[in-house]
Amino acid sequence: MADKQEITNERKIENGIGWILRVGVFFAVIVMSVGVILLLLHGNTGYGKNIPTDLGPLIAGLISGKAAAWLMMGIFILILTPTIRVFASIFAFLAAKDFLYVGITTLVFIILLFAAFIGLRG
Amino acid sequence: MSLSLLITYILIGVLAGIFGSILGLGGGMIVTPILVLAFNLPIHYAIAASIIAVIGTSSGASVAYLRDDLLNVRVAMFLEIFTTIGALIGAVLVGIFQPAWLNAFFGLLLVYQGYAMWQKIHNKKADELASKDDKIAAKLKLDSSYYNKLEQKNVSYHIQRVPLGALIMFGAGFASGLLGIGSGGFKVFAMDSVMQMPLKPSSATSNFMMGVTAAASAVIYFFNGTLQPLIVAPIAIGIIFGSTLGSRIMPHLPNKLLRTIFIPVVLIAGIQLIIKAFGINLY
Repeated sequence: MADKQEITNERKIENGIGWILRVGVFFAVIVMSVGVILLLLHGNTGYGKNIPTDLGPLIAGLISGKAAAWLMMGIFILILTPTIRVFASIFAFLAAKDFLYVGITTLVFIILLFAAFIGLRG
Repeated sequence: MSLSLLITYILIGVLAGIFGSILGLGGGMIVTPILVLAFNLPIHYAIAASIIAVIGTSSGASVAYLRDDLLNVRVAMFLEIFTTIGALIGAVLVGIFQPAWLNAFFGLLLVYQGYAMWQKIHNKKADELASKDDKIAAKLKLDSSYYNKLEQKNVSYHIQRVPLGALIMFGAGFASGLLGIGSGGFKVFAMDSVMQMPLKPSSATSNFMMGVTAAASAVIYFFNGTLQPLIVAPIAIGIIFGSTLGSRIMPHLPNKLLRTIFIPVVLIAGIQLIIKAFGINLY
């Protein structure tokens, strides 16, 4: 009986994770499309040659309607989607009391964070 | 950036998404050759664009797979340790390779892909499942079962040779980070041929893993400025639409015919990239 309960819980969490993916991809497309429309309206990226890759300047660029900032943020949301899924899976395994996999999934998440750190340094 | 170029990039994405999802290739195998051969884009930028295409394709596809019972989440998570480390190293090392080298690697990869497709058409391998437990797999709780629609019964499977599978996954991740591909073929090989997981769960699990592997190198490319948003974003928009469309029309298509048509295309693109590596531009 307890097993049945656990399985439905895992199902619920998995459906939740599927929902995260959908929303992530949907938002990424919307934000990138805004960027494309801005690009056509302004006829330029808003930055010239040097498009920033740091999130701070990019968020500032979103607010001031720079096309490339919207394009970059849309791409960033798309990259974030699988990453958020890994993060959500940590809690899925926690709910299932599968502590070995809480550890394994946390390790994968740390590797992804480390990759972001390397990109920022490089 | 003209309107016509923008529309061209979106269309490349749509086509890559449709063909990628139908042929079981990540979008990367299609996007990189087009950008390098037809647009003369330096291969480093093409690789970065392709890895985003891979995320777009796999995120769209795995929503469908999650509702299926095929996916083995534990196998995916455990092996992602190795694919993400591999991808990270690949994305860091891409900078030390000359473009010519990368063109040659990619060309060889395409030629191999053509050969693998040819094998798929002419080879009917029976699925033989292992019946014995493996110590490491038991410790990691990797064994599972899936519902086989053809036989209408639940099939239990036992995962074997975990260390070797993990090693191949590291290689798959490395290739993914270095060349901007999903490495789906290598992943399926590691699970299906080495770890003795049945083909259907292997494919579903490989697809699920692809996005996470790609994210590891994509985040490096994003922050170190190799991503060209003007090229990447339109292709990504196109590929998301294309792969959604592709997975809808897939059941109604003669896959074998498509593969047969696609093999010469892949081979020609591969050979062209190898020729380009030697500094000869054909046009």
